[in-house]
Amino acid sequence: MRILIADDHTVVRSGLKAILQAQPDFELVGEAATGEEAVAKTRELQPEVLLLDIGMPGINGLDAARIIRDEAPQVRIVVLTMYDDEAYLHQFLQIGVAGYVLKQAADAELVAAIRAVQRGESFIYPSLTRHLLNLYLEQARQRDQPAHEGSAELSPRETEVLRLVALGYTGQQIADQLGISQSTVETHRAHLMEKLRLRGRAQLVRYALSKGLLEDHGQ
Amino acid sequence: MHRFLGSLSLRSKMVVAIAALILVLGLGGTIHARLTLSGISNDELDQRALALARDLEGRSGEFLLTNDIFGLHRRIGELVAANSDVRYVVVLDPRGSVRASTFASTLPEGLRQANSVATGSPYSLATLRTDEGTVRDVAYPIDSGRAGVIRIGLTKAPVQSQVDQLTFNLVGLTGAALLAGLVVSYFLATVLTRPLSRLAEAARAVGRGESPVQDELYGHPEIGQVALAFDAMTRQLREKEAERSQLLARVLTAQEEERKRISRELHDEAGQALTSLLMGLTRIEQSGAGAETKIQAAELRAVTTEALDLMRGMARDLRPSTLDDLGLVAALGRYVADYGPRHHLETDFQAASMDGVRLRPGVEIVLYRIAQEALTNVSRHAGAHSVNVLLERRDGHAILVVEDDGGGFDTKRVEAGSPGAKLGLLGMEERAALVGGTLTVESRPGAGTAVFVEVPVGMTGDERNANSDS
Ligand SMILES: Nc1ncnc2c1ncn2[C@@H]1O[C@H](COP(=O)(O)OP(=O)(O)O)[C@@H](O)[C@H]1O
Ligand SMILES: [Mg+2]
Repeated sequence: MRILIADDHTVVRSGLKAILQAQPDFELVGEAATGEEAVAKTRELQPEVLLLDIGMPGINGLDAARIIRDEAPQVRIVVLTMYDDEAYLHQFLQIGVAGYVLKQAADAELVAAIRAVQRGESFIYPSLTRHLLNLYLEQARQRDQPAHEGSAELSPRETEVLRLVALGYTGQQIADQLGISQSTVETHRAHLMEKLRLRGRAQLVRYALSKGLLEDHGQ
Repeated sequence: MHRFLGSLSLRSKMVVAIAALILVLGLGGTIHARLTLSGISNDELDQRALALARDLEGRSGEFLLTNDIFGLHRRIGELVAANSDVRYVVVLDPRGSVRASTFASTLPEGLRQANSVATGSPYSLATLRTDEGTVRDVAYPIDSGRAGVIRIGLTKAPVQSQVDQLTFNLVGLTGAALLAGLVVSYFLATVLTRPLSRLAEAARAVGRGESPVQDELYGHPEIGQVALAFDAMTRQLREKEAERSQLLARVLTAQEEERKRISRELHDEAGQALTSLLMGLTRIEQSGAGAETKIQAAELRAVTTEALDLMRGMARDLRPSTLDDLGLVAALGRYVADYGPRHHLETDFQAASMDGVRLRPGVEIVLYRIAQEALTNVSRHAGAHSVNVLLERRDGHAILVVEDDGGGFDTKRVEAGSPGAKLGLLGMEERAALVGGTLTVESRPGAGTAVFVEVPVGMTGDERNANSDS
């Protein structure tokens, strides 16, 4: 299988080479040290799998992955990185990479990942799959939430307070806008939180979002 | 007294001084006039009493000689009729019995003894207090006392009423002058102190951060100089303040750049080296080396992993690469997620209207640092159970809210306290101001704390980014 390595560190590249060369059916077709080089060599060498680092001089792994996805969608990209942030994982999954492996454990997992993407599967480094699971559960919860909250009846005043709190106005600003005292604002807020069984401002914002109360404000 | 005067405004001082002056002058003048007038009048009264007595003596000798009591009575009647202030006339013979008198029957008790002429004296004057007021009594001997004594009493009432009338007039005049003086001095003081009040108001405006200009005062003869100096001082203050915030901005930017560089270097250079080390150790473990070597390699790998974790933590604390690569939502979300377990706090992070939005790098780092500081305060001071972090965009502004359900604090007290005890809050404010934003802290003891940051971000650029991401 034809593999291209993109990493700015010579030492890392030679380490990777050693791991890959231990697999007889893997063929290392080239190396790139920058994002631009990764894009150019992918274009030129048409590898089946691209091992892609994130932090590189020039355009980084994220940008390189975007370009390659557009130019050569058939190339399977495996991100090989030191970042275990779920945010990076999400970004790359949105771009459409096939694998995400942490360098810290790049040996058996890396080989397993390359074999998995070769079979057309995806490979996410195990400790990161928990994030994905949480994400899924969170989305599911949000889908379910409005059903039992919908029953609560808010007064128009409470709805207005809900909207303004969710928009991140200070207590004083809300009091000024509605022409009431700050402690009245707090009372309204406490009531509506109770009615909707919400705990904390973040939940309140999610509720407001789900009810479409915050529209026409973002832009 | 001194302290009391010192506490009065200039205007009150002027008014009080002028009022006191008028009072002293008016009352002093009144008393003086009263004394003088009554002195003069008393002399006059005495002269008249003597003149009347002398006149009567000249005529009465003849009546007495001829024993013409009727003529004497007539003479006395004429005298009383011609002089309204004569209260009584009595003519006594040398033995002291009444020869003629204006009294209907006997003399009032004590009158006879009240005044007498010592032998050798030409006459005697005495002042009598009677039921009908003060009376000036003159005892005048007839024919050197051989034919008796004339007693005439003149009332002082007309003189007294004249003096009283004058006193009344003068006091009234003083009152009127006082009133006029108060009004005039009040207006005068107002006019004089208005430029000073204007300056004081300007000083307060400078305190509020405005730059008032006093050019309408420049032409003022005395205050003009002060106003000019004041405006120059204000300008200098402004310049200093601008310099200070520029310097602060540079220092903070340099600090952030430095942190970014070190963080990158730690992560990329040192981190990648350690990573390669890890790979090498793994290779040794999987190679055909001896068991001893493999165990050592495994141990080294454990140490290296620990060092790598440590270093990545340091790099993240210095400046998370997610902030630059992925933006504020990703970086802050990660920070909050790490923060909760570390401080045993429930955390909830929510971003709204931020999908795919990248703010200006300066704004992102400012909001990130403020959130960090606010969360540090929550773990240090709040004693909270949970903390909510909110990031959203509203009407061209980025809004950050960090809200805890802890003990809260008295914002007024902390604000009024020493700067050293609120460095964190001041730092947050300064950072927000650097990107044109404002920071508000709402907290009450027992009711938790919410830190709000509002930064104008406009709408350009973000949408472009948002589109290219999806
Ligand atoms: N979230 C909070 N909950 C309770 N008290 C707070 C909170 N944030 C700040 N404070 C109070 O405000 C004071 C000033 O905060 P700060 O300027 O950050 O200084 P420091 O954290 O160094 O004490 C703190 O000493 C604390 O009393
Ligand atoms: Mg602090």
